Amino acid sequence: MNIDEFLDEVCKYVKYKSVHMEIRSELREHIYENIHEWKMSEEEAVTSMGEPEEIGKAFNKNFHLPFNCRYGLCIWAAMVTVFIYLIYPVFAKLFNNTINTGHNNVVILSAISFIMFINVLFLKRGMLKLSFYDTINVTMGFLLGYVISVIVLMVFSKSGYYLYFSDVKIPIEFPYIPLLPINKIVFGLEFFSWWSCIVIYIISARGKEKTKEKTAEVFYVLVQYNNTGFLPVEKEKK
Amino acid sequence: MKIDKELMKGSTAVLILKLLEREDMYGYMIVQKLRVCSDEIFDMKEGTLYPMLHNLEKAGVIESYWCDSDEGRRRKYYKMNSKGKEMLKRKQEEWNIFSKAMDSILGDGLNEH
Repeated sequence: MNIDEFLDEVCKYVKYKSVHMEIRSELREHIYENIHEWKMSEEEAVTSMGEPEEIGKAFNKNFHLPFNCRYGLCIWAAMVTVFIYLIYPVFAKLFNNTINTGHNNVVILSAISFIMFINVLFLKRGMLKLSFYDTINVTMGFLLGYVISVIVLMVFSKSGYYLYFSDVKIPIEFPYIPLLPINKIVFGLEFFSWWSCIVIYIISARGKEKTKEKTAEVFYVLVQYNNTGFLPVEKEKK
Repeated sequence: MKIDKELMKGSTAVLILKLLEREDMYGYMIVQKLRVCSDEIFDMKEGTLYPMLHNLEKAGVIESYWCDSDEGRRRKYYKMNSKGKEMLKRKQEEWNIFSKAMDSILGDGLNEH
């Protein structure tokens, strides 16, 4: 087995793809030290590292997305979505003093901020630096969770209304989408609010991963502050 | 003599901390030091050290940084922080109590009771 095959085999067992480069760098350097220091052949140096499966599985225990893959995120997203819809009128009442529809920007922004804050608070656990593949997993997880939660909510509603309380109905607003038939009810404005949260979160998380410097941290802090009114929960490590 | 894997499992973390107490080290250096200082008793599969190091880093007892060596290679160094020092002190005390108890039973301790 050569170095690249060994590293591929180790990384095969590490689901969290963002850390693959770091693992590869560190193990590769170690193997090179063995080759140069002890004049080993590549194969001998790789063999001295041990079983790649054992190493990969041990790494996998340390590195993982919270809720451990898209299905866990799906369940989490569904719970958060249902919760948000249940407290949506609370925000409307706070800012408008009435139970209103989703037209009020302050209400929408507050809902977005709340979603963002909760997601970041939980998803920030562990070493969450999203790579392209992890981003897909996170996005698919949220989308699946959102769809499931809206279906669940609609099962308990009549004629496209979200039933909050016995006398409070929030109609599903139809957002204008060009070329789609106007009488088709898709999802509400909340759907786009929800997606904007995911997009903002992913951009800020990926920006943080790619640059790993103060500019990304500043961007991340600004996005969080502007969206949630809160500063990041954890202090950024240097 | 090969030491049982299970026996090594619980001990390696504290050995790593002890080595890092003296100076910052990179992974390869830690493996060599363990081997040399223990007269080859602690001769582990080298790749298995790194998940342990990451585990300790995740626990917040050590920190890492990349550094360019004189030979032009990039090495990831690990260093112990204050939380690591506390953990090491605690683990050393635990070990002293444990080893004393083991010696007392494995030695002639049983006959005296």
